[in-house]
Amino acid sequence: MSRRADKRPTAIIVDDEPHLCVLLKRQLASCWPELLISAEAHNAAEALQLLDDLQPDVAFLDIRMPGMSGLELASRIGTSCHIVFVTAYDQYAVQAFENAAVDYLLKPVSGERLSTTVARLQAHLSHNPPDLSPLIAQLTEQIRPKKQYLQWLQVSQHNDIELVPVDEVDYFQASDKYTLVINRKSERVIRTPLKELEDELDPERFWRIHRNAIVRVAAIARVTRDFGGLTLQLHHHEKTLSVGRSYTHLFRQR
Amino acid sequence: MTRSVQYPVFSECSSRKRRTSRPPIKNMARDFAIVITLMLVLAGLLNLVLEGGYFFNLRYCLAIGLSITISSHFLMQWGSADNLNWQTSLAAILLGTAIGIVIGTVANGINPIVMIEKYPGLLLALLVVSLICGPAISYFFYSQAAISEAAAALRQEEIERISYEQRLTEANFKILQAQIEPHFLFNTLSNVLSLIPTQPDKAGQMLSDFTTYLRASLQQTRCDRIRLEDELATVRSFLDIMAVRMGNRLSYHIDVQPELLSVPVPPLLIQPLVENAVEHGVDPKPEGGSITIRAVLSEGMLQLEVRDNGIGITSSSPVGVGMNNIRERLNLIYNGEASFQVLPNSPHGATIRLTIPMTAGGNL
Repeated sequence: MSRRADKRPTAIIVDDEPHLCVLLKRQLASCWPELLISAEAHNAAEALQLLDDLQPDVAFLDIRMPGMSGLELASRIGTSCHIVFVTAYDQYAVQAFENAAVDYLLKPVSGERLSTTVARLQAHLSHNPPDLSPLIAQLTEQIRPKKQYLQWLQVSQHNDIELVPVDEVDYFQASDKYTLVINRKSERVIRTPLKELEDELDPERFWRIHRNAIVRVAAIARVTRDFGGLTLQLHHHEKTLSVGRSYTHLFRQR
Repeated sequence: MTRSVQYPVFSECSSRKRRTSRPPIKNMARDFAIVITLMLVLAGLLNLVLEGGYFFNLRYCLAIGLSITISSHFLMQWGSADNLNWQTSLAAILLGTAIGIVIGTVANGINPIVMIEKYPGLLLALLVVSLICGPAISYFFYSQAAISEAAAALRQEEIERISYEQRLTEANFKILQAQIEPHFLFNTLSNVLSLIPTQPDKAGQMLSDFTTYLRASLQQTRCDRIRLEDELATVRSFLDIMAVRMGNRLSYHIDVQPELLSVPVPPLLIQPLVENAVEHGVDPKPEGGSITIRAVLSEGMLQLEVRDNGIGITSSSPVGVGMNNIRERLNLIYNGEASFQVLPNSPHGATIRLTIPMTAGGNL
């Protein structure tokens, strides 16, 4: 693709905060009068459409945006334009950018710093944009949570539905068709079977300890060994839970 | 920590209930040493009233004293924690005395069966002395144990108090840290910079809101309670800043009865919930949304609500640091008397409802 070196360079600014788009536009106007800001976008979806329509030379991307982040957006853009990241504060990203020599700006953007970026962009415009995908893949990996575990339970009580964070639960106990959700203050009922909960809960925080029970690991106060096997004493609970024979390996010293 | 009233014979008994008890063998050795010393003295005193000589008396004293000590230890080992009381002590003294007299008699070269016929006076004297000195010595051990137990309890209380204060300070610190989050600071300042040339009045207002917000965050975390009115001022300054930053995507409404404005509440309780509602509820929604803050009196409790019509909470939405922090602080401050509820809104969004006592609360 020709880089249209004969024409005025074009750019698009992507930031979810409208005033920050305006500010950067104003700063660029004084730093680089030839640059034509062809559009502003306030979210990644809008930006993708505009990038496709306008084919700008440069994209200024805010990193933190609701929905798709600037990093994800950059990976979608690929090498179709030069990218400058703009961020208020992203320690890890900034460090990675430094190492990979990717251009970035810190908000509030200073005129001086912007001039350096502009000079660099001007020098690079005639070349093809670099491939940022390995860097972005690495950063996205760091930022995105690994797996989405169950965090909230929907519990009905009288006519209300309440959302209870799973960390409030001390243990789950199977009871007929239902599952009892127990903490030191209350005992509530949900319809989700224990097996399903086991699959959805974070296995680091919740252990299946019996055919009929899942316990929050942090709620365990003591493990005692007796003739019948292992028994768990929980914080703030009088009742103890017994560990099923096939689950005792969880408590073996590692 | 359990602190039941007991009447133990020897220190062993009460120390069994203490978490940091010395090993029983060491306790027994110490008790033996004390008993032997006391018996050396007692034998000397008995020498003044009884015939037979010092060593004759000492053999009896040691036999009886050590028998009581051993039987006490055994009874306590076998007895459950519930029956460690004066009955156990008495049983130990009687049993120990009986065994001791037999052993002492043999040690002094007398046939125990002959003794009852030949020296009934000696038997009576030994019984009297044992039944007076036994309980006295038991009581000595008991009070020693009680003293060290009281000291241990005091230490435990001190540890609990310090750890409570530590946890509260930590929770407050985390709130402060969240308040002066760099993204919020730098983005807000960038907005002010953007507004200065074109809308200087709006820029000035934003900077003033920002000042209110920062001052409140820094000062109020050091207070135990502030007036609801002051908390709402912080909330308002935050929401005004965000309304400018988010363009037309955020609106809000505060609905509080005037008589509730001066109610004392822990600082930065509503504010982080509002921030949470903006960040995770309204902001991720492309068309934005609104936030309503309500305070009402309900059955003598203060009910505070932060309601938004944002994207709502799904089963795998992350539980915000702010939410966990407030839950923890409410537990610490109100000893479980406060409640924290998260309710889904129809058709979308979420409501956080805090219910706290109207009084200043247990832990000021």
